[in-house]
Amino acid sequence: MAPRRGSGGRAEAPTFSFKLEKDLSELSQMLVALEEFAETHGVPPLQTQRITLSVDELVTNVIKYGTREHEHPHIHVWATIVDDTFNIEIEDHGIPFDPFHEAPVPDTTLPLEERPIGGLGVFLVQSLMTTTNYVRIKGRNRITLTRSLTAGDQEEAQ
Amino acid sequence: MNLTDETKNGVLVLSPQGRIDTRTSSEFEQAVMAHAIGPDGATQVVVNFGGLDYINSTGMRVLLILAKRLAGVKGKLVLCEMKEHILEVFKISGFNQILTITDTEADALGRF
Repeated sequence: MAPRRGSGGRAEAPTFSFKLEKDLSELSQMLVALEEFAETHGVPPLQTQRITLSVDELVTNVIKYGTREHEHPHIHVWATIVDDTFNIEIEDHGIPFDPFHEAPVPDTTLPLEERPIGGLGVFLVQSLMTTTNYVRIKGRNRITLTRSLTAGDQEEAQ
Repeated sequence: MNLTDETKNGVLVLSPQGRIDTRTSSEFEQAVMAHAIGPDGATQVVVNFGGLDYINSTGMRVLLILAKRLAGVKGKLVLCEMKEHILEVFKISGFNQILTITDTEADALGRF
């Protein structure tokens, strides 16, 4: 959980916060800032890339599909690092959507000619993160991700 | 994202540099289309990932489109020099089963 709720009394935990109002150029800025945050706090490069890609895939979906015409999704991304765990929360005001249960699961064993184009993003997130969760709360979508940073998870074969 | 292209032994080598994300994947798609898709497009293609730091699923989608297109004209696509974190997501997606991925560009060119 992000420290703004005062959970755990860990005011010292490094915290990242970024609000996106509208478009994909803001998303690029946010991802660069998130990478810098992770690197600054000693997150290993492979883990940083897993985290950045996961946040990218989910926020991309919200920007592209998560709002009705002329509405802004008001996306807020938080991150904290507590006890060798990288915690991420993504909230938006868009259309209710649980990516972890409503997105179709791709068949990664299909031959080239039968492979559909697209639909890999959420699957990548579920593969790269340690835990994923979704709730609809107070008119917002809230996604919670965690990525364990302990040594045993560094080089795991997927 | 920048993309350079050169032809080596009749094989088109495309080398994207930087980041292919949701914002830049359309540039990548247009560049790939211009070189390798269309009536005069190349059919023997290597994509060298050596200068690429980042790719998300919208960029991977472009590679799948290219692979399907080349398979349809009896062409060939080989990818090479992927960084560890990029190779990981290609493996998770099963792309290593449907695309040829080699360590070096020389290995890639050796497949033609």
